[in-house]
Amino acid sequence: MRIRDKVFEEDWELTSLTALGSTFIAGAHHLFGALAVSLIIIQSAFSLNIYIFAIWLVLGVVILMTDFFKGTQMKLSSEVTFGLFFIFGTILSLLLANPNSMFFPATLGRVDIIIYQSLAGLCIGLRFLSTFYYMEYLEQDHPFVKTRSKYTREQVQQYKDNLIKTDFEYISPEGIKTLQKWIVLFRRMLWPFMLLIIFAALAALYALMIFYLIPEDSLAEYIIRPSLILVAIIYSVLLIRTNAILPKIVDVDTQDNRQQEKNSDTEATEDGIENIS
Amino acid sequence: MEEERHFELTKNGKIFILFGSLFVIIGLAIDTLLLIVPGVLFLVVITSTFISFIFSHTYSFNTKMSCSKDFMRSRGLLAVAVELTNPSRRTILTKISLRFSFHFKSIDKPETILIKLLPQKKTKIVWLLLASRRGNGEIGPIEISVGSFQYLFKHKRILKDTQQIKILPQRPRINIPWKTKKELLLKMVHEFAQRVKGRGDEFFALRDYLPGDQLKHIDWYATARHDKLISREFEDQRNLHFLIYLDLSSTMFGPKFEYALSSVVELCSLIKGTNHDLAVVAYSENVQKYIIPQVGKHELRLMLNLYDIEATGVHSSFLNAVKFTKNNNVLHSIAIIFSDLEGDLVKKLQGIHLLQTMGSRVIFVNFATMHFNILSSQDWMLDRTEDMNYGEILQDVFPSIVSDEYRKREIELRQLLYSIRGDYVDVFGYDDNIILSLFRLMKKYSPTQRLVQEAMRRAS
Repeated sequence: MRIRDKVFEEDWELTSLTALGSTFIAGAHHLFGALAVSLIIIQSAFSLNIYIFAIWLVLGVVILMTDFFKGTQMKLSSEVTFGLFFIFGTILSLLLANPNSMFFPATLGRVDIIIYQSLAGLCIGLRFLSTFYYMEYLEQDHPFVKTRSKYTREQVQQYKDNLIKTDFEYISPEGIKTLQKWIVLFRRMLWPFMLLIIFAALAALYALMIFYLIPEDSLAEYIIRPSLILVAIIYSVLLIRTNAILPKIVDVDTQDNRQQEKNSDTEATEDGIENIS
Repeated sequence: MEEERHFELTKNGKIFILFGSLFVIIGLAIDTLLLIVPGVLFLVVITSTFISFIFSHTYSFNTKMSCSKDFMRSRGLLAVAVELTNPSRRTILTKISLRFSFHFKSIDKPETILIKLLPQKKTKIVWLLLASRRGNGEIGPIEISVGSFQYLFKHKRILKDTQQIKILPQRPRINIPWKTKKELLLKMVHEFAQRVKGRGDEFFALRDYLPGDQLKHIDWYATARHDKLISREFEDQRNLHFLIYLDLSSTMFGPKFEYALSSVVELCSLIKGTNHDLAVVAYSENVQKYIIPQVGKHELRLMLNLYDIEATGVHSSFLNAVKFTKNNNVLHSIAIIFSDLEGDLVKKLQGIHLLQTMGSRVIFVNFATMHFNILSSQDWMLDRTEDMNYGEILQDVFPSIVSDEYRKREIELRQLLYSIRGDYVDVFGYDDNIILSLFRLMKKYSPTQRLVQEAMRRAS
């Protein structure tokens, strides 16, 4: 370590924001992942399906271990791998399912299995939601410095005092509370939820219409589900097309930052030479 | 201010759209709510970003950014004020981040802040920045993130207002140990004092032996060399009387005065440690406070008295302060004046003259205004002026006029001081230390330096 760096570290402490809810959210994130897996494991235990039990036990251990090793650091890319894991596990257990397990295609009508499925799905959804929330409000990527030595503490205090009654009077605006953040999050999702419900209702209406016109189970099976699938495909295409229509500007900032980092390195060496001379 | 709007579905956003539809399709195909539920949730989240974009893409913000300085030293502090006005009728929750170059680091507050902008109200945020590197720094642009889930759907306003700030290399940090400071002071005092022979420990000169001289004072080597009795003389140990003048006029008001006062306190506490005498005269138009330090346990009282001093005067008259010392027969052999070049210079010059006639050595310490005050930034002054045309003229002309005037005054003062064997010390900002400045001054007058200078003069 260079001497001047050491001097700097004696005076200033490099920190990043640790919000009160961050560890809680990270914990909840891990918990929901584990809960989803354990729900499946419990169901497969009840249904006496040793294959699914074994598969999800292994997957659960892998997911838990990766989560715990990452600690409070959350990334969207790791969530994507988690999602792919889940799809993979689902397809694998679909092949090995018995009539009692939740992965058997013909058991949709049973209430207990619907509850298990929707609960596990909700857990996965909440896990993803907690990641979004964390990325949005609690990410710890905003470093700043704190005073460490008495000298710097006095320096900063003195500077703040000198700025009183000027345009630069030091003000720290009130932050937003955790509860309020959650409220905002859900309020922002209210509209899209309604929109989606309207979409789904229209699809269901269409399907029901066909169901009453052709009161044959097999035909409904062939029409309801494909129509919903079509809605999902059309909707995602719609979203992507909407994005293509919107005006957007190419982000140049990242390149600048990279260049700045290079500059800082050269600057540092220049400084060092000057100090020695 | 120029505004750039960014609307973009990020890579993550695209992945999550595909993910959502994949979850829903597979879930529907194999009859599993396990995949349908999260898939629907993904689509909902993505849709919410689009909806929030539709609602908020017309928002515009009035923003004003100002920095407290245009140039500064490394390891110095800078205040950046950002004023945001929300002209719409809705309360907007935004994430505001101030971008700045790698030269700066934010203090006690991350560069990104989440705040609520109330409708049709001004919100002000002040960032304190530490300049950690030298070079040409840049403050700005300001990024305002509108709407949630910026990782999936980027919706930002970039206000392209940047300000260049020159960061000069840092002055070496002064952290002198107490003991060294005391040694420096003693050396300095020794240099300043007029040497008088008498009883003491320090050698002064050799002279012929006179009857009555003590035998132990005879220098036997010299006696042998000259073949006659020669004895040593010693320097008298005399107490010096320091007199410190502290200017309380309005021009000293503010951070400059605080620094001047702390310098006075430092010097006083150092001098108290030696066997020299000390008095402090704080003056504005007349003498406001005259402090004679107490001995022993009352020493604390001096410090407390000193900290009571406040800059209250409007104008100051140094001449009146000197007259006060003359009328009250205050002993002084070294007068140190803590003041600046502002105000009535003639009175200062007259006062210095008078001091010199009273036989004291004068040191004038100038707390340079341009380096101390936040007033040195042009922005700060412009905010106060209502007439913009006048402000523009002021911006162009005023700084140069001020600096020219300061230079003229400095030359005048230096001429007078050097003619009466006085000295002039500049204190540039908070990085300067009074003891070190005085010691630097003393070094200029030390015998070795003087010899070197004479030799140089002869050579040229």
